[in-house]
Amino acid sequence: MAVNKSMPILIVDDYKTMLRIVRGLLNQLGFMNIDEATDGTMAWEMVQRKQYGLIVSDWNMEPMSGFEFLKLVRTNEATKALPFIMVTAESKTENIIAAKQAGVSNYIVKPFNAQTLKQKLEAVFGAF
Amino acid sequence: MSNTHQLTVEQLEAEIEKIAQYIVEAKVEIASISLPEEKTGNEKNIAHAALELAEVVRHTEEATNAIMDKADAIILLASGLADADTGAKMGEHAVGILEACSFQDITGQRIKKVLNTLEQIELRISRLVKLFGGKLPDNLKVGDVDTGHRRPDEDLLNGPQLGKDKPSQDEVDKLFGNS
Repeated sequence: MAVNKSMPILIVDDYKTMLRIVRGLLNQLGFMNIDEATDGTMAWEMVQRKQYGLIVSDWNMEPMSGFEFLKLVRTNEATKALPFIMVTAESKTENIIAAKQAGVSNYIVKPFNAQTLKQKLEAVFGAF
Repeated sequence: MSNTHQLTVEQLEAEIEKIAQYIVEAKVEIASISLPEEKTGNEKNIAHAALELAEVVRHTEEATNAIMDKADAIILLASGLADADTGAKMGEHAVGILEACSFQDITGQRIKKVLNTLEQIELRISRLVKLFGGKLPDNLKVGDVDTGHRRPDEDLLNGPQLGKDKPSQDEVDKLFGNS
């Protein structure tokens, strides 16, 4: 499937620095339509108001973590098929298994680079 | 029983007095660790250590943002260069600078873990102070000790792993089923 580079993307992280890095890397890959949220609660509200083509979310955030947000997204009829990439420093085996079982589309461990992000986007959307 | 180990009443009183003195000194020492700086006059306590670490996080974030501002400026300049090859290489290096700035997130999370540990030590010391009959600092409550189960996925929140334990992206991909 050809990726639509103008699709709205929601990036979620409680560190402003990371939001800026992920936005910058996505911009470098040609994705410019990007919204930001700083935790799962805020992201969940945004997802219900707007149709996104992709979510890129951190895990460890408060009050709602990225994992809880993922589970909400997957249990909601309107959002359950939305591509969701977890970008996190949580790299234990149990984290990866739990995220996969919850339906995450792909899993990136921080710190990461533009090449890794591109590979995971291609794994979800196909080569671009 | 042999009489050689029996203490006189005076010796027993002296021993009890020594133990009581140890307890008084321990109370003072324990209390001084957790008391705020304005009450102890020194900066070598847990409350101050936590403030210092919070400052490290703040300064690092400011510096990281300044670095990223410059990287963004370089990316913009590179895209306008007449020599496209040089521009592309400059842009690539500037993106590398952006990527490297993610250290701020990782170090921030590690410092947060240390701060949480300090907070737990402070609360437990406060419990000791209270057990000894001392007065707790105004900002501390013994009931605040963390049970470790505040969030639904608390058991999965470990933060960044130590270098020797941290898997590579390839190992994560294998586990995930990407490879």
